[in-house]
Amino acid sequence: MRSSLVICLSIFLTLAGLTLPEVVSAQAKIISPNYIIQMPNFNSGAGIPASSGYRLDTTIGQTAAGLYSSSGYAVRSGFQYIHSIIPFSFSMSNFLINFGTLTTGIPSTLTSTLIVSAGGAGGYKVTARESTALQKTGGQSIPDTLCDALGCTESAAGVWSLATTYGFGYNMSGNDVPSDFINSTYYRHFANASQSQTDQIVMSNANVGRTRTATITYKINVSAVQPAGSYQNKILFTATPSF
Amino acid sequence: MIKNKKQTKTIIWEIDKLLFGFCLVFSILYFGFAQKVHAQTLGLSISPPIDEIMIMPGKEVTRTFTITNDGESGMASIYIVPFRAQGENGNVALDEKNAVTGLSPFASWFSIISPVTSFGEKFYMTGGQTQTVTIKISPGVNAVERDYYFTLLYELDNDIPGGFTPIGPTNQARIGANLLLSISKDGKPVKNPYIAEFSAPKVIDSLGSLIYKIRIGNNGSYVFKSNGKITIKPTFGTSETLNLAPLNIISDSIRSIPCLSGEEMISCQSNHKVLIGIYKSTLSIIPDGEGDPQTKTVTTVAFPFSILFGLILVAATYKIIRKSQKTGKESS
Repeated sequence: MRSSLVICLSIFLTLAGLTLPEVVSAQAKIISPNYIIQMPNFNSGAGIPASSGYRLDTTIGQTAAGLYSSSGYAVRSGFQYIHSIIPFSFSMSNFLINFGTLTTGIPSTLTSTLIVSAGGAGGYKVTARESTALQKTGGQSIPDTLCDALGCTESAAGVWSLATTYGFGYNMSGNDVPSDFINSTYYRHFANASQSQTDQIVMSNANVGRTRTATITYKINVSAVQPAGSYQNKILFTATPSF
Repeated sequence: MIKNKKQTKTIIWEIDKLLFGFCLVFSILYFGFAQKVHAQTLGLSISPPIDEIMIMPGKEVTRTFTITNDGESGMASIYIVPFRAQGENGNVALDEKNAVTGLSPFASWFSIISPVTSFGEKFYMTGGQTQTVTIKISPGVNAVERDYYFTLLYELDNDIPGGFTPIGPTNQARIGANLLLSISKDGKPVKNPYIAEFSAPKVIDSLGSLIYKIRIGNNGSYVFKSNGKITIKPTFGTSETLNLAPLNIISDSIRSIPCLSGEEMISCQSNHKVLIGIYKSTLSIIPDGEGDPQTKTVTTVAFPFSILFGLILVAATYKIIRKSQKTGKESS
C-alpha cells in the first residue's frame, strides 16, 4: 500500500510539474531598472524631480552632446515620475460569448470583466469595435440595437428595457466607464467597423490606475421573424496607455 | 490460518490497486482538465509602456519590448500605427489607415527583427508565455527633423476550442506601447511651450480649496515635458510650492497637467487648511528643465464668508434666546 502511495505521489508531482504553468507574472519584470535613460544627455537633468524615493542622475554638457553625436541616438523608457517600469496590461474574462438558444422577445445577457493595470503609465483608454453586426452564414444578421425609441447610438447610451426592442448591444459598469451608462438599463451598440464607425471608448482614466475593473454586459433580444442559426461577429478591444 | 493470510493479502492487493487507480485517474483529471476552468480568459501585457527616442537622420536604433500572454494560447501579431493626441489627457488616437505596412511612407523606417520578420505576421503564443519583440528604427538621411508618434500594437487572437460554435461575439484584444520618435541632427531641438490656461478662483471662502487648472500647449515640432511648479505667496503665512507632473506634451497639442506627490498624480491645490487674505500664485514652466521659464500669475482673495456667516448665525440665535427670555420674565 505504501509503495502504491509513493508511486501515486510521484505521478501526481510529475504531472504537476509538467502541467502547472510557470509563474509568469507581469510584475516579475519590475526588477528592471527604473526609468531608463540609455544615453544620459537626452535633454537635461535640470528640473527633473528628485523625490524622496528616487532621483534620476543625468549628465549635462559637452560630454553628453558628444555622446549623442557619436552614437546618433538617445532613448528613455518608461515614465519619468514612476519609480519602476510597470508593464501595461489588459485582461478580460469570457472572451467567447455564447448566448446559446435564444427565445424571441426574451432578452439574454452575459458579462465579461475587463481589468486594466496602467501602473507605469500616466493613464489609459480601452476602445471597442465590432467587425460587423452579428451575422450568420447566408448574410442574415441581428441588428445593432438602437434601444427603446431609437434612443442610443455607438457613442451615446440610451435606455433599453422593452421586450419589444430587438438587437445586440452592451452596458458598462465599474471603474472608469463612460458616464452615459447611467445605470444597468442603459445600452449602446458597438461601433461597427463594416460601417466605418469609429472605435468607442469603453474605459478610460487620465491618472495612474492599478487593477481598474469594469463589467461589460452584452444583451441580445431577437424578434419572432429572426431566422434561426448561429450568429457571430468579432469584437476588438484595444488598450493603449497615455503618452 | 494460511488461507486467512492469503485472503488478507489479496484484499490488501485489491485495495492497493484501487487506490493506485483512483490516484491515477484523479491526477489525470485534475491536471488534464482543471486548467480548463481558466479557459476563455484573455490577458496581454507589454513593457515598457512608452519609449522616447531621439535619433539623427540616417542612424538606427534597436528597441526591445516584452510582451506576455496571460490568457489562452493564440496567434499574436505586431503592428506599428501612427497616432495623434486625442483630447487633453494624453490619450492616443490611432491612425490605423496609415499603419506601417509596405505602402506606408514609414515602411523603410521600421523593421521587426524578432520573433517574426514582418509586421502583421502571426506567431503562436502559448498561455503564460513571455516573448521579446525587437524592432529596428532607422529613419532615412532625408527624414525631416521633427517628431513622429507611433504605437506598437500587440494583438492576440485566442484559440477557440475545437467544435465550439458560439452564438454571440468572439472578443479579441490588443495592447499598445507608445513610441515618441524625435528626429534631430544636433540632439538639441527647439521647444515651444505656451501656457494655454492657468486659472484659480478669484474669490474663495477661507474654508474652501484653492484649486488650480493648468493646461500647457506645444506649438513646436518636438515633445517636451511639463517640468515646472506653482509658487503660492500668501499675504500672511509661508509660501508654498506645488510641483507639476512632468508629462509629455507632444507637438500641436494641449495637455491638462496635474501635480505630483511622490509618484502619484494629484489635483493641483494648496495644502493650506484655512485661507485668509490675498494669494498670488505663479506658474512657472521650463520645458524639459531647459531654457527660460514661462510664467503666469493669478490672484485669489480668500474671505471668511462661512466663518462670518457662522458668527452672525450664533449672534442672531443668542439675540433671539435673550429676547425670548426677556419676554418670558416680563409676562411673569
